[in-house]
This record gives sequence, C-alpha cells and structure tokens, in this order.
Amino acid sequence: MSSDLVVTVLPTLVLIGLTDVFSLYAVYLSISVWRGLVVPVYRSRALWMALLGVFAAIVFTYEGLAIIVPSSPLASVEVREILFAIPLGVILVLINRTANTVIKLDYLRRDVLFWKELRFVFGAVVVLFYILFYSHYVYFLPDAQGFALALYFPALVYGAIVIAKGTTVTRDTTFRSHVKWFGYLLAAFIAGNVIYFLPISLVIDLVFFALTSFCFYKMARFLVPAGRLSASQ
Amino acid sequence: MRLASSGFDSLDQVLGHDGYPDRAAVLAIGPPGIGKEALGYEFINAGLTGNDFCLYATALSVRDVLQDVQAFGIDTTQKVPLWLAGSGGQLRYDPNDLASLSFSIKEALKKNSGRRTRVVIDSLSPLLMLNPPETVYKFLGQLIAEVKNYDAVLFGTLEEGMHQPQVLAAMQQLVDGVIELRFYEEGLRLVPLMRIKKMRGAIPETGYYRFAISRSGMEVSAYVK
Repeated sequence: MSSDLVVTVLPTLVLIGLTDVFSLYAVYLSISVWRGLVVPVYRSRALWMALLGVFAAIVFTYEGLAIIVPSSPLASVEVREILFAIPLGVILVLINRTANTVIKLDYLRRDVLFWKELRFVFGAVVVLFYILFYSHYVYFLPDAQGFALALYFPALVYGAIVIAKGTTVTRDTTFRSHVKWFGYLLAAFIAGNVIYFLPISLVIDLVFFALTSFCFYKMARFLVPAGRLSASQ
Repeated sequence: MRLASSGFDSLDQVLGHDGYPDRAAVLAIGPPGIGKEALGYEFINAGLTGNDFCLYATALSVRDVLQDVQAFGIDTTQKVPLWLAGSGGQLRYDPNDLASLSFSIKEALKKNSGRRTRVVIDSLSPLLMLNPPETVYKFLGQLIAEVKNYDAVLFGTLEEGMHQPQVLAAMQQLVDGVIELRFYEEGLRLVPLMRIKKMRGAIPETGYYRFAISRSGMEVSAYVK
C-alpha cells in the first residue's frame, strides 16, 4: 500500500464522506422545517440553510477531490475559487435572513444597529460581491477580487454583530443555540481558509471543513425546537 | 353547547364539536413561525364573517399584523376587528400594564354583551417576559372568568422555547383548551404535528395530526407512524 494512499487519499475520502453526510442531512432537516413552517421569514431562513448545505457539499467534495487528483485541470486554483465564492455569498444571505428573524422574534420588532435601514445595503453588498468576484475571471480585472473581499468581510462582521446583539433580546433558547452554532461554523470556516494558505497538509484543511459541516448540521438541528415521539405515542 | 368555528373546517372536525367550545379560553402553543398566529387570524376572520364582535390584542403595530394577515390570503379591507395594539389601534396595548389591558378587554366585552364575542391575544409570551408569572396567571385567570360571563371565546398564543416548562404547564392549567403545534423527531425525520392536548367538552385523545397551513386553508390528517 503506497504511503500516498494512507496519508492523503483515505483520510481525504473519509473526511469528504463525513462532510457530505453532515451537510446533506442538514439539507434534509432544513427542507423539512421549510415545509412545516408557515411564516415567510422563518421559512426563508430554512430554505437558505438548505441551499447553503447543497453548495457546501458540492464545494467541499470538490476540494477533497482536488487534493486527491491535483494534476487534473479541474483542480486548478481558478476553478476552485470560482466554486468557493458561491457559498461565501450564500452565507451573507443566510446572515441577512437570520437578522430578519432576530427582529421578528422580538415581540416589539425593535431595530438592532439600524438593521431595518441597512439590510437593503447588505443585500446590495451580496450582489456586488458576486459581480466583483467573478469580474476578475470574466474581464481579467486584477483588483476585483480584493474589492469583493473588502466589501465581504465588513458586511460579514456587521451581520454577525447584529445577530449576536439581537439574540440577547429574545428568550428563545432554540434560536440562541442556532446562533451559537452559526458562530462556531463561521469560526471553523475561517480557520479552514486560513490553514489553506499555510504550508501544511491540505488534509488538515478538510478536517476544518468537516467541522464546519458538523456545525452546519447542529445549526439545522436548532432551526426549531423539536420533541421526540416515543414508540408508545 | 354553542360552538365557535376556528375558521378552518378541517380543524373544526378534529376539535370534535365543529369548533371551540363557547365561553372558553383556548391556547395555541408552538415554536415561532409554525402557524399559531394563522389560527388566530382565521378565528377572527370567521368571527367577522359571522358578524361577531372581534377584538385583536397584540404588542405589535396594526400595520405589522395586517402584513402578516395578508400573507395568509385573508381579505382585511371589508371588516376589521377592534384593535388593541402596540400602535395604530383604537386602544393602546402595553404589555407592562396588565391592569389597563384587563380593563380594556373587560370594557369591550361589557359594551358588546349582546353579541357573540371573539378575543385573540397574540401573544401571551410578552406578558410573561415583562411581568412575574404569578401576576400573569392572576390576570389571565380573572380574564377567563370574565369571558365566561359573556357569550365569548378567548384565543391566545404562547411561544414554545421562551418559557420555563413549569410556566407553560401552569398556563395550560388555566385554559379550557390547548392546541399544541410542534416539530417531532421520529428517527432521522423531523415532522410537524398537531395535538389537541385538551378541549373542554371533547373526549380526551392522545392522537397526533399532520397539518399544513397555506393560503388555501388548513389540511389536517391523522398521523400514522
């Protein structure tokens, strides 16, 4: 058995498998919640959770396969970056939906850090992010990606602060758990991306993606409080 | 026993007597977004259609509620309830001031004592967050006693997950009927189910129902594992 198989291929396949199981089960849970809920704000959040799960499964699987077959033209940095940007934008949309939920959960519908006014700007940032990010590849603009990321991170931080602050208003313990796992997800995702640029095995990167998927599964699990049906019931 | 239609034929059938019992208080408990408010909206809509006197009490603004109501396809242009709302209503709703809230509802009941009355409080959760639970139990107990003096039905909603289990249990003790809407885990599945935990005048049952609320109404069917 070659050392490459043991050190890279097998761990990569195991991690891809774990990542996909967590992501796709979270998609299933999110769609179940989306179908069961009635109020548009909550349904929308569940739907975007499901979409993020689908993109996460695709992107993380692709990343894993690129590690196994690095010589393939499909494993080029450009293709991977193009794919990777999709869930980045979806994360912002999910933050948008979660912040709207924060307002809705407050029985007085109080504003949090001017979210009611700035959410439209936030939406525009998502669109601009995609335009700038992909214009780098379409029009070969060298600085476009930098501008895209310069827009992305302040929006991400602002959205995260709105949600964190808004969560202190609600007493909904399930929602608080959902937000807590969202925070862990962002931390694991950012750590995974930082590690990508470090001179260590890319398999470690996949460990963080598996962690991200696990956090995502926990987020989906806490979309709504759920009881348990016993056999007698 | 006279009955007050819930506004959904499918739910009326499940309730056992084609609606909520008269001179009763009914509580809908469930997580945010599952459809408790929709039950309140349809209950009021059915009352307005039947020319009942209807009062809707909410901490929200009338505009916010109307937006939600319209999302369920309910026409709000013809008849409207008496609004006891955070803003935009005929009467001001302050969840901090239970005495004023109680007075407003009792006065409305008294003024319309000749008519059949429907009162919706959406939701009771802010009251429990801003006041000691014992004060809210007392407020609700007195209000229910008043409702029973008139030809009236009180329908309230309560958020699951925002209160201690003992508070939820105490609130359920106070009322005549409890409808629980919630998600249940069954193996790896997550299914939204409804249960009539209790309803005065109906045979107690332990069954669960699948339900779906949409603009076209509410579908209810017995849940079989």
